[in-house]
Amino acid sequence: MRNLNPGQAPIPASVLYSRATVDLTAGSVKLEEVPCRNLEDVLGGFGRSFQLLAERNVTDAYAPENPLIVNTGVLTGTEVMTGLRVYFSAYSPLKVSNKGLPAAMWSAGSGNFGSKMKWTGLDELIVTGRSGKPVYLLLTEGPHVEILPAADLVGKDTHGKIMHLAQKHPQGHVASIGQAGEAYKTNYMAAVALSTDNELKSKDDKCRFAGRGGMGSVMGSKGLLAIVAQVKDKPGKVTPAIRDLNRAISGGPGSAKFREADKQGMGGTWSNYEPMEKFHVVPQYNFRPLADGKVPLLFRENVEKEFVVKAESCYRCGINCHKNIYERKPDGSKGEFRAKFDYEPLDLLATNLGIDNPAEAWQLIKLVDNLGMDSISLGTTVGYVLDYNARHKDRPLLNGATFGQFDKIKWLMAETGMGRLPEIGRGVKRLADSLHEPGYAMQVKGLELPAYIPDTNPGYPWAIAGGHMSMATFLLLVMQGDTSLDYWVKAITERGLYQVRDDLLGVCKFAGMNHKQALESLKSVGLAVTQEELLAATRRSYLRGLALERKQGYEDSDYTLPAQVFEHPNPHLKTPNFVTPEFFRELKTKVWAVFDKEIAAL
Amino acid sequence: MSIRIAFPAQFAELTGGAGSVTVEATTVGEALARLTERYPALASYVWPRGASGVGGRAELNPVIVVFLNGEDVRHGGGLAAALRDGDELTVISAVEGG
Repeated sequence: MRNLNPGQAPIPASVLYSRATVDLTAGSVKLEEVPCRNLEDVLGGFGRSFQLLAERNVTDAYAPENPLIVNTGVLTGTEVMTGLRVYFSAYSPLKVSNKGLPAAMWSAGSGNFGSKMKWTGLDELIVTGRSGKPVYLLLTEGPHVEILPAADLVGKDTHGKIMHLAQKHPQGHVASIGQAGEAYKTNYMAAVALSTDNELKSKDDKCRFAGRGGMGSVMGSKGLLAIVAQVKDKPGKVTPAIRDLNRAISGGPGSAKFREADKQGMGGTWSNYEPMEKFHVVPQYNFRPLADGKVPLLFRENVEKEFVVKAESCYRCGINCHKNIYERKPDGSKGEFRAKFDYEPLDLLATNLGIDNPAEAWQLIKLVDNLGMDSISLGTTVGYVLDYNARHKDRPLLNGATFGQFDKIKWLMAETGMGRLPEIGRGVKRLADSLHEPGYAMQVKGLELPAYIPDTNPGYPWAIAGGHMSMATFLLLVMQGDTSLDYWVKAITERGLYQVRDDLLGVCKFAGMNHKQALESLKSVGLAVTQEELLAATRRSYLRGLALERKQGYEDSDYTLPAQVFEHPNPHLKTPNFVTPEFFRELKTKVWAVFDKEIAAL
Repeated sequence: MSIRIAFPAQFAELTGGAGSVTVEATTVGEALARLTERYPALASYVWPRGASGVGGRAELNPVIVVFLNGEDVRHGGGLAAALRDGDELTVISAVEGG
């Protein structure tokens, strides 16, 4: 990216970003510099990609004209801590309106690939068309882009593809799909795996993921099995201002939740289990907490009786949010790597499925990671299958698995990852609709819910991508306990939507940057932006997401919650049951009164 | 005693953007009471439902954790822990998405 007026308020047209457009049908690559249209173009991430998606008419996510947009934020590849995010955007095969049209989505990931891509000189890669044979893209400094044959990658899992390509391209980092992405026709929830330094050095399967929305399936549909960015690292100058900023990020309250206890932290998202269990809101048995005392079996203190937990990190990040589980040897030392325990995969692939044994939990997490699927979408869909089978013992689905049956659950996940179970692979909305039992399918607008029960979050319908990473209302009831209409209208329209700010900038949400720190970060790369401008760009980007949903046929009936929330309140919850049909109707009216005006003015 | 209290971005939204404040207090509980008196919007985060007044705030909201000079107060005196001039409290949420 070149800013022709550094140090001043950015004039978008004076900021040029570098784009490669690859047509896999024609086998062509076009490189160009593109002037920005507005501040969100300058900042990048989904702020730019959603503007590009709005220009395309796509009715089939697997059509060659659906563009896969891979881009970074303006802070990716800089010395700002957690400045390493990369974004995959497209029309999603998984998230679909009731009219059957695919919704625009983005998915974000960490690891080293984003920084490497930025260091080649490329800000944005747009992939269209479809290759007749499996291929991968090689990005090198220039930037240059080559389309290369990938027959030797077919059938390898995420880690296998990454290690193969990393060996072939020294100093390269990889974005790849697993078998699930190759099975795109029957698996709409494939993720994109992103390599890490730790993975390449240790040879353990410690990649990161851009999981949501089936971006790995879109890659598979194009015959694109991986992308490699190969360039020497380009660490920048760490100025005193950046050093102080990074200290504040890595040691301050914003990231404290994700750090270890010896760094005044709470131990990561895994530690959500304990406070949430006090309210009985940890999902169990398909998002239906039971208050049965089993949730604590996967509290960290209990897992550490059997396993060694080590906090590790992405490239040059001081937060160490990865909580990696290792075998505990007889002498107490660390043995073989097992899996990474984060709250979402741990709950949705274990607790929510009636699996309370950490030895079984890590096997499921590892399996799903290696096959390359989104833990959230897969776990939630499998949860539905188990629930259906518990309700219909006389006519169960598939292998009849229900809650707690580890071997059967593992089989369902393995077969789905290999593309042999489209019932699961195509997501919970399609499955539940086909069975005419949608009420307990945990999805909103076609996308499976993360591990926060909808009974406590009427903000879900206004998330424009992942349910909790694009609308920060999912823990408010637990945090503040306010059930008033006015509170929730404001929570959605004035606060929660700013959750997406960091998905323009290229930094990780776990840095917990306040707005002041975000502005200092931008200043460090020569962008003098005010808080008002940053928030306005964030808000416009969010509103474009809602506008894009309308473009793809989303109507009032799409903006709802699973019927079970309204019809069968869970008596075990220790939170108020306030999401009634009347409340939700009023909430929609008031929220749309705010957003409709702004969308019209975009 | 002059005490600095730092808190994360989600709380800063409710304090007009301030990421930290300085209060006068002799115990952790008193410092937090001063905080929520100055910023009433933080009260529902810091104290359990229905708690009111300093006397009624004998415990924290279970979703909040407080560190005193880097140590979790739950392991060192709790809200009754004594403060010294220049001490720093960090208030963080015990729950976060991801």
